[in-house]
Amino acid sequence: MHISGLVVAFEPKLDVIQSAMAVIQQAGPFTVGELAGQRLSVVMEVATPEDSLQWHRWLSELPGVINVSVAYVSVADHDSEVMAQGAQS
Amino acid sequence: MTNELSRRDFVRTSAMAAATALALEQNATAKQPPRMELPVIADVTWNKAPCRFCGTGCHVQVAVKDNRVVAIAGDRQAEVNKGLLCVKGYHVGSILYGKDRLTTPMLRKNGKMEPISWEEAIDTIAQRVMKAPNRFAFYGSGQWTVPEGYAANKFMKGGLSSNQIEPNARLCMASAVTGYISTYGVDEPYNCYDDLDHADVVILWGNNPAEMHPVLFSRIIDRRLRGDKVILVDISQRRTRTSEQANHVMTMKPNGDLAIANCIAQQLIANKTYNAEFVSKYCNFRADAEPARYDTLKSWDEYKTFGTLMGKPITFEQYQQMVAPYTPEKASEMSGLSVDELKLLGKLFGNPQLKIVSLWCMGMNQHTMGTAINNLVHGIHLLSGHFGRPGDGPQSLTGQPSACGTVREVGTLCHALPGDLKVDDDAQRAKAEHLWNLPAGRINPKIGYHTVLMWEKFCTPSDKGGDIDTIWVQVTNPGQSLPNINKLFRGKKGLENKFLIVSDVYPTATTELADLILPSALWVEKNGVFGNSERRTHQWFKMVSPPGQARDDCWQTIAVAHRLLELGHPGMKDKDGKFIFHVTDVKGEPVEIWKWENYYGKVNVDEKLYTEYRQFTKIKHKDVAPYAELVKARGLRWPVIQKPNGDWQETRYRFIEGYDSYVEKGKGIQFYHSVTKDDKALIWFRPYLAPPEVPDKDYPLWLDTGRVLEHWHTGTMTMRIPQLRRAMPGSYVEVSREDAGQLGIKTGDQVRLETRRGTLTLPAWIDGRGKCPPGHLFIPFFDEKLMCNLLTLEAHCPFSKQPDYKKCAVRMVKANQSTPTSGG
Repeated sequence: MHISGLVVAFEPKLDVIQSAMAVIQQAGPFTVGELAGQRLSVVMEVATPEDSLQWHRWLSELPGVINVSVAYVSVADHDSEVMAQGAQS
Repeated sequence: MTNELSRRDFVRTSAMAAATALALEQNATAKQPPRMELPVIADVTWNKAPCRFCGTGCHVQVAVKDNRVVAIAGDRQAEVNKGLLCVKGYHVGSILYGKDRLTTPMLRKNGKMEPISWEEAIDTIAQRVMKAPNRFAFYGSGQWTVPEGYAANKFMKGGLSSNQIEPNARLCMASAVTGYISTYGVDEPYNCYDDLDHADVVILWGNNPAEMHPVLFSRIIDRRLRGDKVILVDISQRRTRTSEQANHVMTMKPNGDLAIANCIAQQLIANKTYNAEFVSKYCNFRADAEPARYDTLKSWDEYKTFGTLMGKPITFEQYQQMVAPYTPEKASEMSGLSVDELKLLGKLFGNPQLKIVSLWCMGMNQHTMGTAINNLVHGIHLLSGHFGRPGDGPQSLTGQPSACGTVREVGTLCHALPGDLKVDDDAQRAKAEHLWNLPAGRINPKIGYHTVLMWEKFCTPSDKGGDIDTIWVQVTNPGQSLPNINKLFRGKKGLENKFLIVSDVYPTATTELADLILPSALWVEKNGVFGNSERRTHQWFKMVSPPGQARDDCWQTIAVAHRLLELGHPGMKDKDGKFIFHVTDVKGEPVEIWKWENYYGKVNVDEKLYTEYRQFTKIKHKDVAPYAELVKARGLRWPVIQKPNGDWQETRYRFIEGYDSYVEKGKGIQFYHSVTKDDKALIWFRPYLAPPEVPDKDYPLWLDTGRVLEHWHTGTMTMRIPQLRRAMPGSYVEVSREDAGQLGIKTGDQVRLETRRGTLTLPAWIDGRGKCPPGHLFIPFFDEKLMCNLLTLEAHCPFSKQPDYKKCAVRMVKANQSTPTSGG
């Protein structure tokens, strides 16, 4: 899986934000996080490499979306690996 | 506490944490925004590094597990990007893991590349150089780290007494250098990205930051999200993604920028809206050596006969007369902008209440009048007084991560020495010889060949004046990025005595013609220091091992230098008889850093070289920070000055009292490297001229080239990232709907482009991502299979020697047509 952490910036209109969020929530690859003002954190999880850019573009072109920033991206696919978790702050 | 956590859960958690923290921070209005840390996971280490791609200088956090990069996050402690990444930074970790990494040295034997040992590779280079040191050249780039470029520069200029060293940055920002030097007497921007947080108006001069510097562009967009009014003016030859966000899109004719800038100056004077007090206190006026010839000037070729880099003084009245013809009506004819658009620009600059930032990059620099347009844009800021306040000034951007740090500051150009010193200045050469502990006279006073000339000499038979026989290329791809590559690169084919050495990480268009290939370490596979577009120097440590036998470029240079020492080359010793890269450990014991096993052993070679280099930076008030300070910071903007309490303080604005410690008290603004030695900057007049090659009946269209969002420069890294390659798999030519209709071309049709230099067949894209005006075509340069530089012109700015990739004449026909058809 290819996993990214994104920040979606919306136009400053509540109804536009709500409807865009609803569309994002219903779309397969996204887990929606906290809405901070006009910005929404989302995690995008897609199966193939090309999907990540396609969904990124889909998100960017969604009505009401002004900008999509990338905050985090996994580099390699190690889905089968198990790792030990240490302290998490 | 230790729990089992699948990698997927780890990555999801990390991704959400990073995104949430970024969203909260971007939204924060409090002075201290909330700060959330990345998850700490056993066996995963996080460390900082600047992004490997453009000149913005974003910082990333790199997660490493089992000697492999596993994740990348935007670094929220970094002032440049504040946790953001663009879509390329998104994939920066993947550049290390292309399946075709070069992993072993290869030598061409009987026409075939065969693996050889490092010892044989180093000896091959050294023997070749030893045989004819004055016919050897080094060609690097703004992707060299500072220590790599410094070592190469010292090896050539301090060791071989040769100035035949150039960087590919000659192709992307040399005009900015000459623009700064001829305006302020010293190179590099006085300001920084903080301006983007304060400007009321941002004017983009042939600049497309939405795709080329997306993180900087997002700083502007973010301000709008917070309710700030920021007027964006996009002056360009074609519409781009940046245009979509612009308040004013002004489509100009090629070279129209010269007329636009002069027209702004004309209006400022005619309307008496220039800042007379600022001009009187801080500016002098200047024009070319024979300004009387402007009256009858007809062509760029003629201009080259009297235009000069440093010009001669003129009075304000003479300047006024020179810009007087550039009325909005006249400039409209020259530039293609409407009279109203030109008047709007005049009004913006004439309004002292506004804060205006001008941004530019290749659009102004890759220009046969590149120095001139740089001078003019600085000039309208000085004339109007839009200079010196946060958010109010001109700033060039760079395309490579260390074009400023390694090329401009370390001086890896054929005329330069570290610290902005010049090889043709006796006193400055003497300073360099002193700092390098070299005997007097070691550094050659003769300026070497600039990039175009260097490659022309390499591609010319030795018996016909081609006096460069061997070139060593590091961290760049001239086989794709040089203009007119049939002449300047492929001309090497069949020249038996020419020898091309290429250090790189992947096979490229350049390695195709190489005689010796050296596998290099990349990015976090080595220590490094970069310098970005805003004078920020940043440092990182090696985090993972390079694959196979790949080794640092810097080590390669030092190893060749030492082999030359063994062969008896006298230049490889300083005046005390020590190796020019003599290094000692903490106990003062010499360390044989030319042996790979010692390179990351007892000493940090990067730190040693950087610390030596740092002495040069104090000469012209460009003091870079001590290495230890860089280790702690996400980059520091020079001059970095030690305060009485021992802390080190960076400088956001040079020349400005209150920011720059070198400005004398009470001066306000002090251009302390002024050309005129009176602390004043120069407001230049430079004329509008049409480009040297313009469309005609045989070649009726304009051709423009450039970059796309997904790919970085020649695509050697980004084309190996599946996501990016699939998003933008191949090149194309952007065609206007009007031209396409006239020629019966549909999107996807193969079209053949022909210039006086070459031919290229590729698919058409009508009104694609960018939108060209009628009569204008655009091709990106990332695709090594469809190289636009088969077509481009090597004509270059007479002062900066930077070629113009943005305009030449071309014709287009459908690929199955045999007879050329005029278009446009």
